Amino acid sequence: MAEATSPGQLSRLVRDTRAKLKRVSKTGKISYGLPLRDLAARCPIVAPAGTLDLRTGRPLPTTLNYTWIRRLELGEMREAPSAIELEALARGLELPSDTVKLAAGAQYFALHLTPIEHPDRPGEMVEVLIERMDEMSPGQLARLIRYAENVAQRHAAQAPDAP
Amino acid sequence: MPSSVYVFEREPGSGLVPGAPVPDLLDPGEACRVRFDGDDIVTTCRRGEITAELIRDLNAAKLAIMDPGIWGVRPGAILPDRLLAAPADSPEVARAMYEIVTPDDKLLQPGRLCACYERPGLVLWLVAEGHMTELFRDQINEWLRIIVGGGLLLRQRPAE
Repeated sequence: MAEATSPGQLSRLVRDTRAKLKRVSKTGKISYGLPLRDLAARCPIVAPAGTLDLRTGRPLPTTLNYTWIRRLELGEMREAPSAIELEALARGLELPSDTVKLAAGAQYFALHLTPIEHPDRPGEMVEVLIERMDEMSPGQLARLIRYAENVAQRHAAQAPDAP
Repeated sequence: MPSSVYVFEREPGSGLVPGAPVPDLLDPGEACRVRFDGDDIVTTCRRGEITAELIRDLNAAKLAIMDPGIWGVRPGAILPDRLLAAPADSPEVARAMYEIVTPDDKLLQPGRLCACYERPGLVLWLVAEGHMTELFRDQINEWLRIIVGGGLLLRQRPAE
């Protein structure tokens, strides 16, 4: 996605989890909070040899880059991480991949099932799942709902239901 | 846990990448083809019918919908030799479709290539003009009519 995001759910998850990760020094001293470079080294990218990064066209690196993680924590990532990157992040943070993916979905797509009143049928509530609904004005939301329902009606009139 | 991924078609004569979703070789006139790979859904796309940027954004958006288990393949729907549709009056069955929108429609936030509208019984993906051809849209909608409209893919639980 092209829009920049403010630090959101995924950014907070990475920052908070990194702060809690245990670090053992060469002398055996235990502390908490992993430096970015150490976390990056713990995030191996697992992909078939020769897999290319869609954004750069180059082969994927072997681990996540620490500057990439820093930008993610600061909410400076303009594009949603790929599935491969999220899997790598989950490995480094020692989190279930579902947890990381849900946070990415919430931050970059803001997908939440939200009950709202139908713009043309007062009192009738519908639940909708719209990307970044919080950024939309009531007028934009009403226009989108009417548009979507018109498309659905058009399709219903054109094609019979599937067998 | 099911996933849904869009990939470009495989070039004739090219090898397969171990571990990666296996794209199909498309027939002439085919813009896309959908295949169940266990619980996963692989949509093979012909180059020129959809952009790499839209594929990237759709794959990322579907992470929020498919991987957390919000949608899933209906148990028993995938048979070795055929797909088994749900009863037509099954309450979970939805209609799903893609629609191409223009900047004049003012439905997508600036810079975004896709958005998903969903309410019980309906899933609508809005995609930016210039990133998907009408041929691709028509063919993927026909696949969605079979897969979602036929109850092979069902809403499992509310989104979080």
